Amino acid sequence: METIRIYLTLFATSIKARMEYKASFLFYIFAIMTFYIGQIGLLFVLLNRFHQIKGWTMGEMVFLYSLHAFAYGFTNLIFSQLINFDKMVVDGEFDRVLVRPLSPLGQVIFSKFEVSTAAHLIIGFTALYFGTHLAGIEWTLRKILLFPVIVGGGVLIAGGIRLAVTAVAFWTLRNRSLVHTVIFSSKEFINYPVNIYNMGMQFFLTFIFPIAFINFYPAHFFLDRSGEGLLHPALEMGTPIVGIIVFIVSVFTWKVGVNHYQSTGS
Amino acid sequence: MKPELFFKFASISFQKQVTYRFDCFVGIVNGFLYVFIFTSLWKALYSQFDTTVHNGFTLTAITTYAVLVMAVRISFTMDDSIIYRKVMDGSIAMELIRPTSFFFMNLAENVGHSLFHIMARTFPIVIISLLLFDISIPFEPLRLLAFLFSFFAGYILISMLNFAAGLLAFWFVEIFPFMLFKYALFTFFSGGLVPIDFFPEFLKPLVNFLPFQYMLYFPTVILTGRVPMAEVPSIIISQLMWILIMGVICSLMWNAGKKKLVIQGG
Repeated sequence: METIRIYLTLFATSIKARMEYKASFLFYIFAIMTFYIGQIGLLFVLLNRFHQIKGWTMGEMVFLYSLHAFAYGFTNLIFSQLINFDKMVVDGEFDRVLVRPLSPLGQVIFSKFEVSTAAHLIIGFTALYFGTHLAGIEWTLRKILLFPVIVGGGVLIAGGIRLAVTAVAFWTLRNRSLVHTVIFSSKEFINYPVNIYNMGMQFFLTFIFPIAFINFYPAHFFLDRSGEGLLHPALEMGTPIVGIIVFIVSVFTWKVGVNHYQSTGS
Repeated sequence: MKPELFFKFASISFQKQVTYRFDCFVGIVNGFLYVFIFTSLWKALYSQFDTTVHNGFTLTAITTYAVLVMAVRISFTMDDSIIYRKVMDGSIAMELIRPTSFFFMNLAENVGHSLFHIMARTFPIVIISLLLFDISIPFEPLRLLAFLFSFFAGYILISMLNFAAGLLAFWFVEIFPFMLFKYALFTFFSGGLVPIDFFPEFLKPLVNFLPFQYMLYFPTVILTGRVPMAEVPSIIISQLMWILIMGVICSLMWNAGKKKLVIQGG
């Protein structure tokens, strides 16, 4: 109980710190939304001209995008401190974390919450609304119940990947560009249906770097698309299982990293 | 500013980049990732139709565009947070007492930074793409010369955009949202991902009103041969006009900012 109370205090403090500059915060939300609107705008430009992408229409693409926005929004909320984790290692701030009687991972995660998740959620809900209308999704009880499970699985996948790539800092110290590529640039892959890529890349995004499970595979279930074009039809329900596996592997990597950690002495 | 001094600053900035060799390797992967995604996307889009030419682009032409626009974009890599950091830590005061123009010193730093990225990232990405994709670049000496002209003009424009955005640090504590906003507008309107030719009619007035297309789109289409040589002079004149406009904005902001600036001791 005491531990939970401490984590909640850390959580509240981090949000207070972020709200210090309110105007800046609101403009930040606005800027993030512009960025995502630009991305959806590009989809619109392409589909306006070509009507569909490998059998995916505008509504279906927008739904694909909403799953993505939800998963990354919640991942950002929870795992945002990991982006600057190499700085914690280089500056020696991680030493302080280690001497406290709380889990190091828990402290790192609870030390910062990205409130800009609000922007992702606005984009996510808007995309979900338009996606549902344009693609004519029928929301059965089963789909409604499974939606949060799929988003949760997506968060485990995206969060697990973040955790694994930041753990690299225990060995290399500075790893900003790697973190940037793996966390942000790789997102671009799943802005589009994964079946536009060649077989090798589809295999990679399914089994090695499984971000296709964040939106592409589960979207087949929600959109009632037949799973025929997939590597295997059963993959469309794979998100929660893949999420759990990725997360376990990542936490393990992180723990190995902590044991390997040697302070920089700064 | 004396040319020797300019080259001195550029070479120092170049050498700073050389230190991060691992980052550079990751940077190649990062740039190639976008090239891969967009060449796959165009291939998927074009495969849906019997017609081979869309909006003036054959599949080979659009693949060439996707590779070269990314090559130009990577060549334009610069650190847009330099001015912000100088204002935050107060070292901007040193710039004020130097007998050299701050704008040109900043430009020199950018040039050094970019030269490194051209050698370490642009060339490898173009060479790999030449081997992997069906690309055709017309080798006409006059066209190459025109491209170089347009490329430099585009470079100066981006430098000015970053300079102006960086100067906002004189007025705002936090400029990251502005940078994200700038990035979002730039990515969409510069033709960095999808060439302007594919934009719907109603967006064209906005595209023409903004300077972004002169930064990436026009230099790239001059190189790929999409634009007839007869149109090149008017494009370069438009670029020079934008340099004039942006130059006036930059110097107004710089003069106003200098008056606003308060450096705390320490």
